[in-house]
Amino acid sequence: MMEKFENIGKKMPYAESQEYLDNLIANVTETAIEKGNSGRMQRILWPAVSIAAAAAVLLFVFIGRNTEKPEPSIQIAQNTESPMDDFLASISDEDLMQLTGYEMEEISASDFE
Amino acid sequence: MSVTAQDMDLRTMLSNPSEKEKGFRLLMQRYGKALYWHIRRIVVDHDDAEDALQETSIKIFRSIDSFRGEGKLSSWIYRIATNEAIEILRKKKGFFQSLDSLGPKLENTLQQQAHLQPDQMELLFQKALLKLPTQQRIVFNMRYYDDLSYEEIAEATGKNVGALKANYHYAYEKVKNYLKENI
Repeated sequence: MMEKFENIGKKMPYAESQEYLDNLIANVTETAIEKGNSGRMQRILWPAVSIAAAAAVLLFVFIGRNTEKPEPSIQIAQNTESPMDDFLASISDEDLMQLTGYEMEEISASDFE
Repeated sequence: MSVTAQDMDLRTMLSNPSEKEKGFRLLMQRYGKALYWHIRRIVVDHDDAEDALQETSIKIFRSIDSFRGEGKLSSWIYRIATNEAIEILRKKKGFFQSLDSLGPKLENTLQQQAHLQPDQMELLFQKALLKLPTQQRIVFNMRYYDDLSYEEIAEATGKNVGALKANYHYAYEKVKNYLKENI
């Protein structure tokens, strides 16, 4: 058995009552459960939120890259669908009206003879 | 180290997610006051002891799942409490100061927070303890007040049993001599 200092024992020179300590322990316990659980939710949610944010950034970058405006030269080439379109675009409205006014039968092989 | 029957019922509850909170409440009912006094003897100040106890209990609740069941549950929670108490002391000391240099400051706190008319022997005994190096003081407290075995203290502090016995012996002799000189 461990040697004890005579007349002292295990008494402490403080004034905290048993009732006070009971309340303290109860409060500390409930706070620990509350903070412990909220901390757990954070630990669960944090990776999910991080992954979602990273996915959103990647998606944004991917979409942004695909919708970039092309170089002007490429844009002209893309808008030019065929030589006929080029031709129609180059003529005036009056000429275009005249062209559309022709009857199909008027254009026959004999006209070119 | 053997696991006590008391530890076993707590472990069973704490390992079951649906009973974890109930198990934790039981654990705090069982060890809460002992933890408070263990911390208080290290940090001396009541508010610091409350803070360290709160942090200790949060850490216990959060990390109880990671307790692998090697050794006693009580040793594991004492370890967390001891670390939290030492952390409080670290915050109080200067950057280049050692923990042991806090003795006079802690003695002052003891004087302020003791009973209005304290038992002079109790007060003298506490002053003698505060003259000890922190490591010796913690070992002495765990052995003297908490009746922990050297093996349990070794689990809680991470020190070997031989060193702990030497620590306790030196502490005991120093306290005895201090009392002799000051009575």
